Amino acid sequence: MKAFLLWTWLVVGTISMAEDPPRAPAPDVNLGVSREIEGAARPPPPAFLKPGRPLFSVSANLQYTPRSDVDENGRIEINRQGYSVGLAIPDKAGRMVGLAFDQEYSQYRFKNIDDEFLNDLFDDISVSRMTLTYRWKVNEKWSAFAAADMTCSVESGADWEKGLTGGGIASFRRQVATNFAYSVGLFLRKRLEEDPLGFPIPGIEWQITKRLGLRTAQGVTFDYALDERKRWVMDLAGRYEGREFRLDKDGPISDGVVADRRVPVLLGAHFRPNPGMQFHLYGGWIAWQEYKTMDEDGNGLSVVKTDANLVGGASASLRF
Amino acid sequence: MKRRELIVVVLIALAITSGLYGWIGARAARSLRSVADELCSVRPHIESVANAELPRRAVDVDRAISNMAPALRVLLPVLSRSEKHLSTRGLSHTALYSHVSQILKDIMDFNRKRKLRDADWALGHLKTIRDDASALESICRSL
Repeated sequence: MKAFLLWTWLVVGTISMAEDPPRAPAPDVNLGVSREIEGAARPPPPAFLKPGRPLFSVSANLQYTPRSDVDENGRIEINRQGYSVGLAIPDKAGRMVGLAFDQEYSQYRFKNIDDEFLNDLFDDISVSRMTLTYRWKVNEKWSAFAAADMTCSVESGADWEKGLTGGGIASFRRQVATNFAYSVGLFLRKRLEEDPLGFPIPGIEWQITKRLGLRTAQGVTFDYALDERKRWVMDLAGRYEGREFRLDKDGPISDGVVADRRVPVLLGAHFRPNPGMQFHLYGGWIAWQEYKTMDEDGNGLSVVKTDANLVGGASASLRF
Repeated sequence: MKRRELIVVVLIALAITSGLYGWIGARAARSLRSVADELCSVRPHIESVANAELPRRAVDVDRAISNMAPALRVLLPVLSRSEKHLSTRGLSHTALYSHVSQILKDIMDFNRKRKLRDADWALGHLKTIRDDASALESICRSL
């Protein structure tokens, strides 16, 4: 019965979207990227949103990294699946409160890795994140954004309390011209065993031509609309992705930590059959990637770099 | 080239070569010294593993693992740093490197298979780690 109601709600919501005013689709699920940093670069809620009417979003993502070569014979293969559900409520004064829950599962397969620490160190990883956001349109030019998240990143079998981290951002955004805006913020994040991270986040959003756009957040993205209505959009993105997780107590490095950091360069195609719905197919190159293993006190044990390799994935998202 | 000039050139080449060898040797010695110093700082833990009392029966191996675990946890990052340091300084051929590398490999091998709950295998492997630690301790003492 519950499943029937949920499906009815989704179908009715999807159909009714055709009558809705335009709105941006929900972002992809990617737990290697901070929702706060991505959110800070976004514009304030548009005036046409009905105050008090909640906006729901649902996203799902699949990603596959077929083979990362390590040294001569070693390789790492990664499968990821993620989903996200979110809710945002705008009010009359141009403010919007949002809450999102993201979950990502990863399966790592190691083969012939020479490094004593990394080889067969872990298999299944789960990352869950709850993010609370607050966006406030001060006036036509200025808007402010604040967000905080709590993240749990653990290997299967590890204590979830030991995998908890948190972070947040406070930023402002200025719309300089109709086609250009910049944002500046301060991002702080607690990490597993490593020193907390804090750095300023500058971002720009520039609609260079009617079809070509450039934006920066946790990376740089160029997008190009293939048609006037922006139903088909291609994009080229390079960004930093960082994941870290607590290892199993009974594993090779008891309660240790692994940081998986990479810089993928991706070419993607977005299909938006209506403004709240998006399908995204992407593929590209991981230009740089390293795995850092640490013991439970944060002492570095090893750093393994992989060769450049391919990555691909697909995602679907819905906002209603 | 006159004979005298040839001798001068050969002498200069010899001086440069011996100076270079001296510099490389001194650098290697410094690296070995710094690794030895770091290993000495955790010598009580190496000793505790080397002198660990292992049970006669495989069924008591859990207790032995618990006794050895704190020392192994301290040793792990130090051994990792030492191995990396020696390897990057081109000292992979030294006895110290092979001992450090061997015990590190055996500890990780043990940790990786510990979940199998094979008490006989675990006991045998703890003995190997103890022997590794004993060999490492004696080489540290000689440095």
